[in-house]
Amino acid sequence: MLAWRRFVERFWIGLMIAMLSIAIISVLGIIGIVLWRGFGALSLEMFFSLKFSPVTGEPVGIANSIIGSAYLAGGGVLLACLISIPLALVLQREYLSENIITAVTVILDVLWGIPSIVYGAIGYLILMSCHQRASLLGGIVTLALLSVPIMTRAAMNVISLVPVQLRETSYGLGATRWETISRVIFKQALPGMATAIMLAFGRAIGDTAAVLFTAGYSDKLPKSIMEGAASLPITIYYKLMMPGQLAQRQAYAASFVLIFIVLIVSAVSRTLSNRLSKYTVK
Amino acid sequence: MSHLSIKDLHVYYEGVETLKGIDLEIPDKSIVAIIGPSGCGKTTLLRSINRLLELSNDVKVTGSVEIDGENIYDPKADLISLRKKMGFLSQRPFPLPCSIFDNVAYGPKIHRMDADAINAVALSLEPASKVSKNRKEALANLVEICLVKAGLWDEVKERLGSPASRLSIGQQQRLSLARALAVGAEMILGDEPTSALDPISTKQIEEQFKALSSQYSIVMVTHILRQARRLADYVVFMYLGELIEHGPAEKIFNSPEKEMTRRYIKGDMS
Ligand SMILES: Nc1ncnc2c1ncn2[C@@H]1O[C@H](COP(=O)(O)OP(=O)(O)OP(=O)(O)O)[C@@H](O)[C@H]1O
Ligand SMILES: [Mg+2]
Repeated sequence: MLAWRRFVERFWIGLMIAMLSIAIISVLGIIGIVLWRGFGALSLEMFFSLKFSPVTGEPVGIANSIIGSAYLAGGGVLLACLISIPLALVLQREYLSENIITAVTVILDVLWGIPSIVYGAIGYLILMSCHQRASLLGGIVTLALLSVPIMTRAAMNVISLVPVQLRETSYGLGATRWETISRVIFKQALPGMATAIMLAFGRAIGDTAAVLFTAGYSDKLPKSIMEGAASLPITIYYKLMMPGQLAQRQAYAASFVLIFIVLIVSAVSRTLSNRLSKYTVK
Repeated sequence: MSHLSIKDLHVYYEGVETLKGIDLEIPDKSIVAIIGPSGCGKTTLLRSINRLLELSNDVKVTGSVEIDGENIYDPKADLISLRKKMGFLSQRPFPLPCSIFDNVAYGPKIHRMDADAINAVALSLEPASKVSKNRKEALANLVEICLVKAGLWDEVKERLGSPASRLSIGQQQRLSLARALAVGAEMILGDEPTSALDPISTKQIEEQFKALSSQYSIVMVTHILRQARRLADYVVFMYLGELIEHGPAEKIFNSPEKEMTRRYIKGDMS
């Protein structure tokens, strides 16, 4: 009997280690391949300039895409925060009935599942109806719409983990609903919110379909919010479609930049999350 | 000093009657112990006194709980100022997600108490306390007095800015007490406030209660009969949602009227 139980224990631990290895190997593999294919093209010139190749006349620098992506994803996520966090805070039993909360939750889950190309198409439609061309603003709004369901649901999950006794403590001292939500629940949920924001940022910066028609493309750095802007996913797509060694390599180099940005943002959000959890109740 | 009286209180959870008509006058400036077997409705009674019950799903309450003649269940009642009069200590303490200082200052801050109001609370706790015209200083004085009264000051005075969640459970319970005192609570409700504590922390809380009972009404639920004997001036015995017997502690412990009370006190009923 004991031997069998030991076997079961070992089996599950073994399985866990195997799955973990697959995950780690995949991540390292992706980074490795991207680096291997793109290494030749990685250069400071590529990151910080907008130069064109004197030989082929193709663009070498991708500063426009890096800056464009940073604006698009950063702006989109910031805008989404302004909608999602208050929304998640209001979607509580204190303010709304159980039925309304469930209904909104279902809607958000459906929105989460809608492919980003549909958001892109809707964003495009709105731009057209306003007689606007693709622009940074169009891209930011579309990415914000794309991020709201993810962020709101993630924030709601974090809030639902706040112990009910914490609310009771606050109410017991004579706090109002808003004081309890803003001073206690929000504070307790803040570290988790950082993760929610990170999740949304990851999706926003990597999304191609949403920005394809709404932000467009530009060889230059965007000077105003009404101008079109390049983005890394679209640059990668264009470069992969181009013939020639250099373009191919650049596509992988740009992919590496994308992965690198996501890694950095993830590291920053982790540190931030740890900082913010100094006072939270475990 | 406020007076509490409960009249014909019924509580239903999901339609099931859990408190079956409680009538009780809580004597002022004394320690009232609510005793009775597990599941008889002690927590329910305590939580109905400051309307924390309604945070749970599907609860219905009828009857009245009057504080200084004002029914807390009146739809027009000012819930905030009524709750402010009662400090609540739960079975397991929960610090707010902020520093030790801010935990105690939470009440005065949300109630936007000005320097005079803060000084008034401090003076009611300790007639010899420092006062200040400056709100910040007044608040710092009040936090100190509350922590002293709760028996926690010496342990935390060097680290008022550190997270309250790092305190031990016993310290957290005393912090809850300080937090309640800081809003100017006139009554303390404790739901087995020492059940998560070791004998030393228990003793500390008990001593604070004893000391505070000259100024406050303290209502506490307890499972420990010896604790009720040690502390209580007045004892309320409940069984299956009904109030079986209540009276001065000596009477309940030495010559109870009801057979059921006698059996519970003797330990024949758990
Ligand atoms: N939120 C709730 N929903 C449904 N039933 C509940 C709820 N809370 C308590 N009850 C029921 O009400 C009854 C009284 O519960 P209560 O917590 O008041 O008992 P208690 O006297 O405090 O017990 P203990 O000494 O074990 O803490 C119990 O039968 C319990 O199952
Ligand atoms: Mg209980």
